Amino acid sequence: MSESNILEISGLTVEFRSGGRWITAIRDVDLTLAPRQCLGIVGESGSGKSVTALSILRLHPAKSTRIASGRILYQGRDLLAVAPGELARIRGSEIAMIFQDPMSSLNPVLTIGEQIGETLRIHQGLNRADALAKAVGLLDMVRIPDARRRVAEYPHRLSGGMRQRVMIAMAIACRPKILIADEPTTALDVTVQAQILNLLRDLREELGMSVILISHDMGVISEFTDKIAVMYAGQVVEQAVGDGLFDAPMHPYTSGLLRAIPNIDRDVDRLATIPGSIPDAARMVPGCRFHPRCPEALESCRSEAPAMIDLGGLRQTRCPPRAERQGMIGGRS
Amino acid sequence: MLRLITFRLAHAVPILLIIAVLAFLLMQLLPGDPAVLMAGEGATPQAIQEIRQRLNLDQPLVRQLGTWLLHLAQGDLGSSLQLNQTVVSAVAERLPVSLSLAAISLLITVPAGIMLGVVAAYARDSWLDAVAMAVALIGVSVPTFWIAILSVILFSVTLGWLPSAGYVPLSEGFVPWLLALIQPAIVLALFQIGFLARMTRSAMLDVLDQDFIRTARAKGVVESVVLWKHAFRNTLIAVLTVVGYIFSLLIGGSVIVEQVFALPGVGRLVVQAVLTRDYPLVQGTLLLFGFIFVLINIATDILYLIVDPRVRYD
Repeated sequence: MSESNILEISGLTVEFRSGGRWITAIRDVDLTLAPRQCLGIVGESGSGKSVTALSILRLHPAKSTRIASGRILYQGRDLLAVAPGELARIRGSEIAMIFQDPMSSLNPVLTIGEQIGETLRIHQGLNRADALAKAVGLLDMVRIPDARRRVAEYPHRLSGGMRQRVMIAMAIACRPKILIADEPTTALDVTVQAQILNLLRDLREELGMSVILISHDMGVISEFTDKIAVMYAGQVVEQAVGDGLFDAPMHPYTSGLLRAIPNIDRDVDRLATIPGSIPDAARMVPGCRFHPRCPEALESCRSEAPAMIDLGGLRQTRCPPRAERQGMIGGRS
Repeated sequence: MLRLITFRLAHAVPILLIIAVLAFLLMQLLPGDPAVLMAGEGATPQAIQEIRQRLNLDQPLVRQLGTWLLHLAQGDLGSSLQLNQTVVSAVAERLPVSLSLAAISLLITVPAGIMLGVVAAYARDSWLDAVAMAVALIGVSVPTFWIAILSVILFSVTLGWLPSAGYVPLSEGFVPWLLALIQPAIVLALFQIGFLARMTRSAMLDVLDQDFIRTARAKGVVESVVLWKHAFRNTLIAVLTVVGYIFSLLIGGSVIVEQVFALPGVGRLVVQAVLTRDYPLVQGTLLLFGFIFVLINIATDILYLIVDPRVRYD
C-alpha cells in the first residue's frame, strides 16, 4: 500500500457478541483512502458498511463488539491501538463522522449552538462565547438560513434536513482531514438528499477533506465518489476507481446491484431484484459468500472461499470466475 | 413558560378543593355517631352533646361542609380534642421537625441515589453494577424500623456517637440540630436511595443506547462528560419524578422513624391522633399531606419545564 494514503484499513475483522457467542460481522476488510479522495462504500443492509465505518473511530458499543484483528493506520498510527485520550483528541478534530438518522443523532436537551460549540471548546480550547460565535459561522457555511437565531434553538425545532446540516456543521467545525458519512441521506426526502450531498461535495472541496461516503444507493455512490468498494456479507467483494465499476462490474453482486437501480426511462412490470437475502452472520455459508444468490455460481464457488484478486489499475474482485473470464488476473493480493 | 406555570397552579385549585371535601367527609364516614365515638366509653350525654355542637355535627350536611370550607379558607381547622390546642397550631408546631428530617434525608438521598444509579448504568453488567444494585436492593428490602433499631444500638448505645432520641430545634444551633436528625435522616434515606438508584439506572440505560451519545463520543467528548452532560441530563425528567415522589413519601412516611427516634414530628402526631380518635387532628394532618403532595407535584412540573426544552414548547 502506498505512502500517500491518509487512511489504510487492513485485515479488519470485527466480531459481535450474540447470545454468548462471538459472531464475525466483517472479515478481512482492506480499504485505503487518499487525501481529498471520496471513497464510497456500497452494499445492502447487513453487509458490514457501517461496522467498518464505526471501527475507524472505535464507536461500536464496547461491550458487545470486539475487533478481532486488523489495523487502521492514520498518519502512521494504528487507531485501533491508540490510548483512549489520544483517540478522543482525534475524534471530531481530525476524523469526524455524521450518521444515518439526524432525528436521533442530536442531543434533545442541548441547543444546537452548544452542541456545535462543544467540539470547538474541546479541541480548540475556545470559551463558550467564542465557540458560539463560531457556531453561527458554521451554520452559515452549511447554509442554514438565519443562523444567528437558529443557534439558540433545540434540535426538535428543526426538520430532518436541517438537523443533518447541523450534524455536518458539528463535524466540520475543526476542519477534519477525514469526514465519514454513514448513510447521511437515507432518512431524508429525495430533494433534501441532493442538497445534503451537494453540500458535502462543496465542503469537501472547500476544506480539502477526504470523505468516506457510505450508502446503499448506487446512484448516490456513482455521482459523488471517485473510488468505490462494494461490500457483501461482511467482505469487500469488489473495488474500483472511477466509473469502471459501472461500465464493467467484475463481481456478480455488483451487477445485481446495478440491475436493481430503477430506471425512470424504462417501463417495467417488476423491478429487478437479487433473489434471496444476505446469509446469517452466525451461520456463514462455505465458499463464496454470494454463491447461493449468484446466477453464475460454479461448483468451485460452493467450497473455495475466494481471496481478493488484483486486476490491476486499482481494480479488485473476489470473483475468480469473472476474473478468469476477463483474463485480467494480475496476481492475488 | 409563565403561562404554563399559571395554568398548572390554576389546575391545582380543584384538586385542593377535592382534598378538602374528602377530609371533611372523613367525619361522616365514621360508623355510628362520631360524637359518641370521640367522647369515648362512659362519657356523659352532656359531654357527647358538647362535642356534637363543637363540631357542628347537629347541622345539616351541606351546612356543615359550607362551614368547614369557610373556616378552612380562614385557616381555621378547629381544635384538637385531646391536645388542648388548635389543629393548626398543633401541626405548625410539629411541621418543622418533619420538614427538617425530610430535607436532610433528601439531601442525602439525591446525590447518593443518582451517583449509585449512574455508576451502575455506566458499568452495566460489571461487578460495580452488581454491587451498586445489591446495595440498592438491600436498601429497598430491609424494613426501616429494623435498620433504625440496629442503627441506634450501634451508633447511640455501643459507640455513643449520636443521640438515640429527641429533637433540637434549629434555633438552638445548627450542629445540635443536625446531630439530632442525622441518624434518623440516614435511616430514612436508605430505602429512598435504593429506589432512586434503581430508577436512575434504568433511565440511564435507555439514554446511553441513544444515537446522540454516539454523536458525542464521535466529537471527542470524554466519557465523564458523555455520562453527566449528554446522558444524565436526558434522564432528569425521570429522576425528578422520582425525587418529587420520594419527597412526599419522606414527609408522610416518616411515621416509623419519628416513632423510633422519638421525634415530635407530624408523623407521630398522626399516629397519636388516630389512636386517641382525635378526628379534627386527623382531618388536619390529612389536609396537610394532601396539600404538600399537590405542591410537590406542581414544583416537579415546573422543574420539567426548566430541564427539558421539549416540554417547554409544547
